[in-house]
Amino acid sequence: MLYLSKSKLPERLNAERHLVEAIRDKLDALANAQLKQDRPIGKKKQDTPPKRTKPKSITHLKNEIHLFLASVNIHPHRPEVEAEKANREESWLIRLDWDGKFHMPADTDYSEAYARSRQIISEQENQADGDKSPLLYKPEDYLLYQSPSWLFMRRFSNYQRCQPYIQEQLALQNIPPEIVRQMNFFDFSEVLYNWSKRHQTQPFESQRSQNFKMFDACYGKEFEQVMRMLNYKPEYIEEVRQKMQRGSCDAALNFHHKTNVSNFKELEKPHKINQFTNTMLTFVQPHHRTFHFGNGYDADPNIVFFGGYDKLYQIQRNPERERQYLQSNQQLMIRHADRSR
Amino acid sequence: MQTVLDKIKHLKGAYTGKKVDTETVILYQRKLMLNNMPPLPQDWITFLHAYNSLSHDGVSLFGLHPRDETDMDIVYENILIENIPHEKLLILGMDELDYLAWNEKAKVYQRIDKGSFEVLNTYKNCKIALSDFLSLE
Repeated sequence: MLYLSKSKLPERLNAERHLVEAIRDKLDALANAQLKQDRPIGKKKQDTPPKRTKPKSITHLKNEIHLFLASVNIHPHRPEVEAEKANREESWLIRLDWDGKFHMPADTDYSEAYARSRQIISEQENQADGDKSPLLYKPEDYLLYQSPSWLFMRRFSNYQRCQPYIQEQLALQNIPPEIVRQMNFFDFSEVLYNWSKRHQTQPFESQRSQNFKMFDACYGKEFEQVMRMLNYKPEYIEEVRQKMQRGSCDAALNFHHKTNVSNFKELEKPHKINQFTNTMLTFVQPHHRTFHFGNGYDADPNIVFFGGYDKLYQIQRNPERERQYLQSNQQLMIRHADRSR
Repeated sequence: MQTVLDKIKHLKGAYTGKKVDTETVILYQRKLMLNNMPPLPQDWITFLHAYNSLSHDGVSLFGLHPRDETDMDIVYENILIENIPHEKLLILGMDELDYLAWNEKAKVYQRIDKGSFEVLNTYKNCKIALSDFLSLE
């Protein structure tokens, strides 16, 4: 690819726009090649004007897209290790950590022991002559480490912080402590949900929200620069930054997981699947879509913002800056915890 | 359903497409059928009559021939998403990790992992599906 010097910004921006148009056109062509349409009413087959060129085959179009992405250094994902895919429990666990949203599992997802306990307790409490059961256990009676599911959950910092909440809620629900060794993630997530409802608050800040704030804190200025080069209005850029400072984003942007959730065991440290280092901010169309094309394409692990196919519109990671941000954030949290005691 | 539509109206920073009329929906159902895709369920059509596509905070819901850059067309998206497990599944939207789909065989909406197509959650109607997928309180 022929790169023009930075001084020729408008030309470079035009080139970027052509690249974006090209990939969108190829995706459209691929969809159109597979699309079946009604023949226009009143037209017989011989009325259709002959095409000058044969329609490209689907394989040919897919190859064109593949070659295009290769030309901008985006290559198909090839796992380095043969790793198991995320199972159902792991998928849910990762999602709750990522977006902080509780999704009610199916009844069959709970462990037998927990499901039985909660049913017995619910029946006792719903009996006509039944008073609310007295609390039988203390939070410290619950040894969460006895649960294999908890041993994995606690590697996520969000869940680790929730340990006292889970213990508190288990005691309130009168769940026998011996059940813990059989509890799975779905059981724990229901307990956490109940705690959250009772306290009318989220038990933790979602990793997604934390990542947006970290992105703005560490790369806000470079982000502004790139967005200005892409010719976005200053008011819009400011609005996007403000949203990120509050832990969310504009509809045009979102985070891409470089190693996707189902392949999280490919990571050296799988519990870091949602961490900032495994995510990259990008535009939804067509950039994020191209990373999910086919069986997935790999992003450069050192890119933190993919604003365009031209490297001029990409932001490289600065590990030192990130480390300092995390350190100061950690200190803030400790000070906050001390004050609230 | 009206409660959900009202909540969507108050979503800050959401981009929504123009409403669709009945004729467009009928022609679109035919397009879906021609391409071996399930027809749109009635309650989703009610949603489309109010919002023909929607983008908000990492969530995109597809529409019928939307025009804007950030909007996506249902048929096109279902053609481009590879490895959809069976022809009774229609992808209606997505967020960063999952698809929202209509399962014509089971007559339910489903949250499906983008990578593995595993079903993570099931919703019995559009109102519940939208409330959960868009995190409407």
